[in-house]
Amino acid sequence: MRAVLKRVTHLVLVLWLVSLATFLLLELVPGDPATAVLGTSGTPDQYAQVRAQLGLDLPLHERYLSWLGGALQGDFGESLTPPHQDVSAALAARLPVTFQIAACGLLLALVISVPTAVWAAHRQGRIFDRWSSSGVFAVMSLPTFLIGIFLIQGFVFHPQAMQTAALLVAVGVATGAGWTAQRRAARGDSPWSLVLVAVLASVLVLLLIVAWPTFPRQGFSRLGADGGLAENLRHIALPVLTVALGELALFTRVLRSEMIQTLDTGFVEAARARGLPTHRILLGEALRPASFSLVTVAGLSLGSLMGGTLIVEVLFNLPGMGRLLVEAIESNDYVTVQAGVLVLAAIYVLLNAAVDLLYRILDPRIRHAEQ
Amino acid sequence: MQSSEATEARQPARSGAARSRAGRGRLEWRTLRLWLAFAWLVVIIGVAVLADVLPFAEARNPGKTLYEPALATPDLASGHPLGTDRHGLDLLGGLAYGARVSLTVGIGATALGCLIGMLIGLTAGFVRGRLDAVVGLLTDSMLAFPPLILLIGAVAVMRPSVLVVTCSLALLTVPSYVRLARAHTLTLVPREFVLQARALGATSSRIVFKELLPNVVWPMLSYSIVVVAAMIVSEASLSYLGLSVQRPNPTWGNMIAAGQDSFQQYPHLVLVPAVAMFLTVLSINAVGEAVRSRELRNAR
Repeated sequence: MRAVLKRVTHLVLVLWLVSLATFLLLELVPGDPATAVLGTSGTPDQYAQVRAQLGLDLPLHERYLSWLGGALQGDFGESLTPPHQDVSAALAARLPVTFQIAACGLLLALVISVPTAVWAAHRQGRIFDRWSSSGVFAVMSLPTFLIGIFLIQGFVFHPQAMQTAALLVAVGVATGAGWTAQRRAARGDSPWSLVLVAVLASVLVLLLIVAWPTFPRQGFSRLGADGGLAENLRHIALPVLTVALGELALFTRVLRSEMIQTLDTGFVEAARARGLPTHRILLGEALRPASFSLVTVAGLSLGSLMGGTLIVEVLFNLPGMGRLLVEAIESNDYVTVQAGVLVLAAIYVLLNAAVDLLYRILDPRIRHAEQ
Repeated sequence: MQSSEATEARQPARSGAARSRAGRGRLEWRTLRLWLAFAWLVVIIGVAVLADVLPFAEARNPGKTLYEPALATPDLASGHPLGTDRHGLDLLGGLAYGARVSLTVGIGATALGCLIGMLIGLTAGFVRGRLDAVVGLLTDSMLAFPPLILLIGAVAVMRPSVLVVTCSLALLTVPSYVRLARAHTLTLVPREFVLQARALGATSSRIVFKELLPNVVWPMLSYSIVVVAAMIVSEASLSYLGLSVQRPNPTWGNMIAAGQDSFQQYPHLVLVPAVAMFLTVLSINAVGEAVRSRELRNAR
């Protein structure tokens, strides 16, 4: 209980410091906000009037308190530059876009990296491990914007080539899995997991032939818009893939090394001695204790992605948080910048705290140590 | 390695000789890979340092390239081995000057961030108490800021230049260095040699600089290798967004940004800087990995 109280105090203090820093940093920025509103052609009287309107003639601490008070009630005032709109409303319109891209990207990265890492750790030093590790290492050295450029080239401008490549891979996986399943059956082992893989890959082949979606070069379609979910998914597919490829390398590496250590411990050895099947050992016994670092890393990267999908937003022309803030910075609209940075920082801090909490749930050792 | 023994014990089909041969081959490939990485890094550093002396065609001033072919495709036999861009600027030369920016920013930002972060982390970990709590709060708050937005803000306020980008990136690495240095210091403080120094009456500053610092430096440096790679990527991202060194002065990021719209027709405009950056970051990561695995082996 005391630990939790301490965490909460820490959280509040960090948030307060962040709000103070955001406010003060933008105070230090040269340039008069009144010029952002009026342009450079106003009269001195007009400037003075705008300053009074914005409350800029009040002392610093009063302005900070009134800003913080408004922020706590979710009221950030109006943006300085046209289109004049409620900043809270602008943020509310942009946040879901960024959140969807970040969350889906993270999810896709996890869906790819967890099985890869688990299997690589299981077959440490073998062919799958070496190839996947090299692949991950290569992806790690590619900046997000390059990944995005290459994906656009492939999926938007050469869809046929990508379709063929995807087909070849799916056919390869299907035949490979089918062949191995047959060999296993001949040896007397259970082939069903591989049969499942083969069937899934075949279904994928059919899907790829029947419906290969065309991906738009840019733009976003909201869930409530005409196209609904399908249109939305078609628009976010490439951005999400870009984000996922950017995050996946770290996840795979973290989980693989942790998993290798876990597979080396006594309780896994005991499970092997009891004759548990491989998938039970990997998923039932080893994955949970090996996943703590991954949970931390994934949680933190969701937090940083909320302000870090800017490159993807620029590449694919998405109306997200990153572009809102950059546009606000460029037009000196400090009200929007302050609000946006504060919101992003608050999300990061809260997610961080949530990860901490999740840790306690996942790891009984921490839970019991405190009681 | 118990686990690999266990896996192999369950699959006794492979002959021992075949496995050891495969093992040796892999080891050689790993060494070769490392040497290749070193070779590339030496080349790229050499080219960056000597860019002014080497006989590259004009790569920075479009006023001097009026008679050069524009958009020449790569041709090793010509005067433009990697081709030219739409202003006739030489891509090989651009690569060299871009390498200079990337390496200066990457190494400079890392060194600066490491130095500041290490000193703060060491002090906080050694002194503990109220100072430690304040430092912890400040690092947590700094980590909470969205880094890319902060960078863009900084660059928007000051004119984008190598110095501004280096300092802003350095500032962003400080919190993680503080945490790392503090964590290492905490494990060192209760050790005998520190106790001994205290018993001999050493001053706090002597303990921090003569006893703790030499022990904290090495793990920080091995972490720094990966940070340099990350900083090069960050600089390239900023350049790509037009927030670092401006055209026509070449950086890898702004070369890619300038060429991306004609990727279809002239893929070399993007591929040349992209491959150079990829190889550089890959090489640095490979070296970092090698250093880290050696460290792990020594720790065992």
